[in-house]
Amino acid sequence: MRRLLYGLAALGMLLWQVQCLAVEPTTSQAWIRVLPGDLPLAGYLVLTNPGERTLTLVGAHSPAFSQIEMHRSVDQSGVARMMMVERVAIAPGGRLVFGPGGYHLMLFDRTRVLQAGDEVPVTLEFADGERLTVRFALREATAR
Amino acid sequence: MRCFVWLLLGLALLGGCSDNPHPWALRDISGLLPPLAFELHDGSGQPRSEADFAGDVTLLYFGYTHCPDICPTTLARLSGVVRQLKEGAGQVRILFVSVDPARDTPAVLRAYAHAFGPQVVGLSGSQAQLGKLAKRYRVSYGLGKPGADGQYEVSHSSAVFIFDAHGQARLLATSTDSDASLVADLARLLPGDTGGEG
Repeated sequence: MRRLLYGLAALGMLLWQVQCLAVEPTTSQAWIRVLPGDLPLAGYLVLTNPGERTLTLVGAHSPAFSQIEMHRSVDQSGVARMMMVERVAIAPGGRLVFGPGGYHLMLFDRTRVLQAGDEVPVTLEFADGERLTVRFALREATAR
Repeated sequence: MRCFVWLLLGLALLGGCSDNPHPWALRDISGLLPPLAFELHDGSGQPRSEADFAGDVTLLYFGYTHCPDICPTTLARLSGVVRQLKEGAGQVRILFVSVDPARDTPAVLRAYAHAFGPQVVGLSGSQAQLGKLAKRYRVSYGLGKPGADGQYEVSHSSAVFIFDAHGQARLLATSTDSDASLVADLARLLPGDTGGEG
């Protein structure tokens, strides 16, 4: 009987872990456009949510920057503006594109010299407390 | 006699149409906006005017360097398009006009323009000079209220105004126009090109 209970507990833990693994978001095309001096930079990536729950991105941090915000560029009748975004939800099975002219991470005050060709880690923060560290490729100003 | 006048007018209109058998891919603004004219300074602090760019096709774009997304995306795209013109690239100048002179000192402007290639010229000026230029091309811009960290955002026109080598306003490009459209139309505007440009 005790063996059965242990077995069930082990199975339960295994299932729980499998579920945790399943909700892990995946990322691709993570890059940052490097501009001269200490100008704020934009970071881009594609986030995919393969899980069965909605993922909500609430922020990001990196040792290479003192502050990171989420922004979205919008073009309102020929006038370009940026809006701060507090949180972005990604539906189960959905995908969120942080790309030029749309959603982007705005990275302020670099803490080190950044050069195209290098990489920097950026940790994405989700509403459920999960963290995901992504390596962003540094690309030159003219990158597209 | 009156019929004859109408006939002449009709022929003239027809002639006007047949002058341009190949419509532009971008929006044609010929005659809708005034020729290029400005008094600004460049990244060395030197005064610059339209006369310095006479003979070049110019692309006029308003922005600011603390803009991490739209402005560099636009400049990267424009410089990439100009590079596709190959030997014609030397006859094209991208004029990046910062509407944020408080933060965009000549040194900042120079480093910023340089990062996008030799065709990009960083320009700015006093609020009076910038206001005059913005009014001339009917664009608006606004400086946001600074936050606790002193940072502020700037709204600016997203359009690119294209002038021919004589400084005449010719085309308007927006972010929805393809690179191919820009390349094709700029090639036709290059001085010496005979492909449909009179």
